[in-house]
Amino acid sequence: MFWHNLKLSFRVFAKDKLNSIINISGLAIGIAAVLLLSIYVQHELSYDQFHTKKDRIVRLITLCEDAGKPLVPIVNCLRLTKDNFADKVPEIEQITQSLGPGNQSFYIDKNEFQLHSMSIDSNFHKVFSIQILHSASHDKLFRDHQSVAISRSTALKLFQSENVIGKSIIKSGQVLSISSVVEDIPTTSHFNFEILLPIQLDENDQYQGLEYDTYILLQENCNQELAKQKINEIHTKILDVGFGWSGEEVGSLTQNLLDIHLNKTKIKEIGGKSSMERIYIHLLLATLILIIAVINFTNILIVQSESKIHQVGIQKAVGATHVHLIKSFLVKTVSLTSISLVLGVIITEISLPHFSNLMNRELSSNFLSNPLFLIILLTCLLLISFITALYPSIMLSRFKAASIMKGNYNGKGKNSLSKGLVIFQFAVAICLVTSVIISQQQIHYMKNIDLGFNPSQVISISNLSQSQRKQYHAIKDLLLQNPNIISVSASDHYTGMEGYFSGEILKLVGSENAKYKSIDEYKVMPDYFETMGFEFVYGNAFPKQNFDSLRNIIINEKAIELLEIKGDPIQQKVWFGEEQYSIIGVVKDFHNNSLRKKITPMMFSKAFMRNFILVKINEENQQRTIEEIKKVLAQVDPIRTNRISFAEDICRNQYRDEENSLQLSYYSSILSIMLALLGLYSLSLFMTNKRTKEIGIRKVNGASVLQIIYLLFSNYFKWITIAFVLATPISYVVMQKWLSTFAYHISIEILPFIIAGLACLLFALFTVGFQALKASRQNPVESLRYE
Amino acid sequence: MQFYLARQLALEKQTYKLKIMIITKDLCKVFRTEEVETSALHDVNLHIQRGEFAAIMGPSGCGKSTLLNIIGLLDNPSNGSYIFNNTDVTKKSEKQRTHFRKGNIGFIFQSFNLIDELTVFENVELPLIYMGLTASKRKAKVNEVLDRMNISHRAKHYPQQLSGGQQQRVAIARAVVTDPNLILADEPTGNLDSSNGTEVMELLKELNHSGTTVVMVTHSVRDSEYADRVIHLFDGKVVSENKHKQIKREPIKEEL
Ligand SMILES: Nc1ncnc2c1ncn2[C@@H]1O[C@H](COP(=O)(O)OP(=O)(O)OP(=O)(O)O)[C@@H](O)[C@H]1O
Ligand SMILES: [Mg+2]
Repeated sequence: MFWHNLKLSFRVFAKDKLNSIINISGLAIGIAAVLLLSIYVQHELSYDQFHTKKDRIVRLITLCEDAGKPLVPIVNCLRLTKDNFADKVPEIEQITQSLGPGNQSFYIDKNEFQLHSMSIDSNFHKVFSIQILHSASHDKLFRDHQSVAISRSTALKLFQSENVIGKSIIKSGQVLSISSVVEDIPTTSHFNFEILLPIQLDENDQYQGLEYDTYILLQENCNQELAKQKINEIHTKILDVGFGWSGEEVGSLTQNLLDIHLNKTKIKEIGGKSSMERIYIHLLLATLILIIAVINFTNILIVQSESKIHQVGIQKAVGATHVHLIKSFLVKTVSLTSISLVLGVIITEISLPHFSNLMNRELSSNFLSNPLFLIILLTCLLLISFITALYPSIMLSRFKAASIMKGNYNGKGKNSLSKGLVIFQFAVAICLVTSVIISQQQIHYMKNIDLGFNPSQVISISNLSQSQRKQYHAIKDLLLQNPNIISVSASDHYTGMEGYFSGEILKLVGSENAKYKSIDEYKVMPDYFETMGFEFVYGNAFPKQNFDSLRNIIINEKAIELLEIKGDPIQQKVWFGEEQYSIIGVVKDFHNNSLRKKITPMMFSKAFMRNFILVKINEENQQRTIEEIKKVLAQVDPIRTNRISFAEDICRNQYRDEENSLQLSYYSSILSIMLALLGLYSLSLFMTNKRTKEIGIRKVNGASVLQIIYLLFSNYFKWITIAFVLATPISYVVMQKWLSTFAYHISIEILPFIIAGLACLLFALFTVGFQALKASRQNPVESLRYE
Repeated sequence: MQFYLARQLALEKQTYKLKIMIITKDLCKVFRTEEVETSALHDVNLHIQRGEFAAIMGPSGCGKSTLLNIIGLLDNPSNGSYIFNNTDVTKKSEKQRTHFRKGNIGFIFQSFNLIDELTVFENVELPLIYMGLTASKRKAKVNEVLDRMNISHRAKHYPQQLSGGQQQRVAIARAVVTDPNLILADEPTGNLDSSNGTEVMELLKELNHSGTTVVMVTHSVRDSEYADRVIHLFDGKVVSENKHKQIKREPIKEEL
């Protein structure tokens, strides 16, 4: 019986190859999407799970007043000592503090490497599960304060061997020896490092503020809630001592290690890389895709079997019971589903690296060895088989064998669900396509807007060494000898980059009763305004003579409003700290933030720090000029590798997040269109199949091919129109909301909707067109022959 | 005299030609599927006159329906030629065949072939829509035909709500609503009991008397007695043509 059924199902497959292939690949794509999303969700949920003491580790968070906002959480703490902190709470088993992580330069035989480094204290590996592979001193990461630990992959990268104990590495001129090699920690960790440094190396008088990441390991079997309460109390007291003098309010919070990545504590300001909402959304998406894919699959399968409805009737007439029929359906669906599953897994494997890129995660491809995924796959298989076998048993029991054979079989009304589904799928597709177009437009707008200043052709040189900073004037003179270099300046900031705060306060002289106003400050060297292409509304740039000695500042137009300056702002004086400064110029407002944020009041003062050298160059010979600039820099410091970028790129490339999510929605919309088309295809198969007799009769009675095509198309057109009407307002509202997160944004036009609607319509017509054409050209004799 | 005779002969030939509706010459039909090749018709030569009532009989599978479909321009022959109303339609495209069929040929099937989703009225109206008649004209025609078929009280019903005899009368109404010259019926009484069958045959006879040519496939000897002529098919070949009686509307032959 089983073999008979299997044989039959492969015959059906072979007879209707096109539909079978479309069906199998449709389900495979659905399964692949579900698998990818599950891999992602599983990855997100596994963050920091590898620490054996994960349930007892908490992170300490400082709350403090910031720019008038009450109690903002900050992940960093003060340096906490054993006496003043750990000893006061008996539930604390260990406490560890670290600095970083961040990229630092290291040298091995004059070759520079940028390594992701963390500076840690000696308790670090007692709290976290760090596996020591090789160690110079048993069980210890560092032998002394001049030794470092590196990860296995870093050892392989730097020395092409794993056991590199005793080799040296140079950091800021200091020779350090490698005292241990540790196993790489999984990528599912909220911190990561290539090299570990003893905290003492980085610690000096400079670090006395809120600098330390602080993790506490609690005793086993203690009352964690109580312990946390005590910890917060003591921590607040310590902070009070540190900040009490300023009158600022302070507080303390603890966060479980496992809550960090998904930010389950819901601390907005220090949000982890992900969130529970994101997990739920992805799970929902996966479920939705699976349901839609299964329904499409079932529909096509049913159509394929329904064309054999007479056979089913005959089978029943010659004594097939329900169980027989269901069995034969089961064999068929299980075999087809299995093929789809295998194909789905292959598609997943192929697309995983790309998907990882897209989601900005390192997703591992060994998901097949994970029992969770085997369960998911098996569930898919069972679910699909069950649904597909259930359907015919319900459908066919409603019809007597005789009536099926007589041709009175009539499937009226039963596909209203599939119709609804197709409309829904198209509505989703239209929503996604419009959102892709609108976000594309917004990103284009942001990247091409007039910034208010002109950073084009400006090279920004950063990562300057101490000697380069000191010899700035010499470098400038050397650079200006190059005919392709127009001007040179320096500053302490990336002009126009979001997230720059300096937090100065100003007040107009003569308005002594007014409050101080907070304003951000750019510190600049001579020729800055000329180099960066600022436009002056009033006054001029800083004079080159007596640059350092004159107390003057330049502001932007927003600052005029802020300071409530009436009349000519030039030569107005402001209180800046304890001193009076004169305003000597006002520049046109410029985008000092990304376009997410409004332009804010800014002031320019004179720099003593030179973090960035800015060089305006000619458009011609750009590449050669850059090489020449590098040579000049190397003249001053031959071993330093400077970072060289275009100032304009820095301003215009602040939209990575948006571009990433655009890419994601781009792929989702492709997937959604594919699913929708598949749904439409299956439904149209359903409909045309049901209507072959009708089409035949119409043709016998004089209908032309065109009239039949029109008859079939008008339906699809109607559904897509309904989908369009449903999708447009939703998409409009959602995108309006998204756009409102940008201080500067485009307004939504009608064009994206028209494009999305037309695209769906065209795709749909193309999908059903072939079938409609086939159905309408069918010889009516054929369709009526068996009636 | 000779001249007169020759002219007479030519005239007769011409008139005879005009009187003939269907001429098939060495008609063949071969069905090819991937595995097998079936020869359904083999050198079929037929003349059917305007106003004739012809019955086609023969064992199952001998090609009756195939022949009827070709006559009805639903299908093309594989070989031979077919002249319908003095026009060679052997190699016409589907579009042209549809054009020829429209309003000229009405079909009646054994299984009625009504559209389940349309009412009786709408089913009958269908060919008129495809002919491009206005709604008011269509309404008048449909109502007239439904009256004639004695089924107007069921105009708003759906096919499933009617008996087999009633369904077949609707199908006949649909076949004649365009006033076709030719009615093709494939076992029109096959699904009906004898009284309903008789009713249908009477209707066909009536139509034939009012001038419509009728070609009918049947298994029933009783039904075949309504026809002027019975064409016997066997294995795709015409084996005999029996005339039941003189065809009344055949003046030229009578004169000869
Ligand atoms: N579309 C087709 N494809 C293949 N073979 C066909 C096709 N249509 C008819 N035939 C074959 O042509 C032959 C004649 O078929 P046809 O339907 O004309 O028979 P029939 O005389 O009408 O039979 P019945 O009295 O049973 O209706 C049969 O052998 C049949 O198998
Ligand atoms: Mg037949």
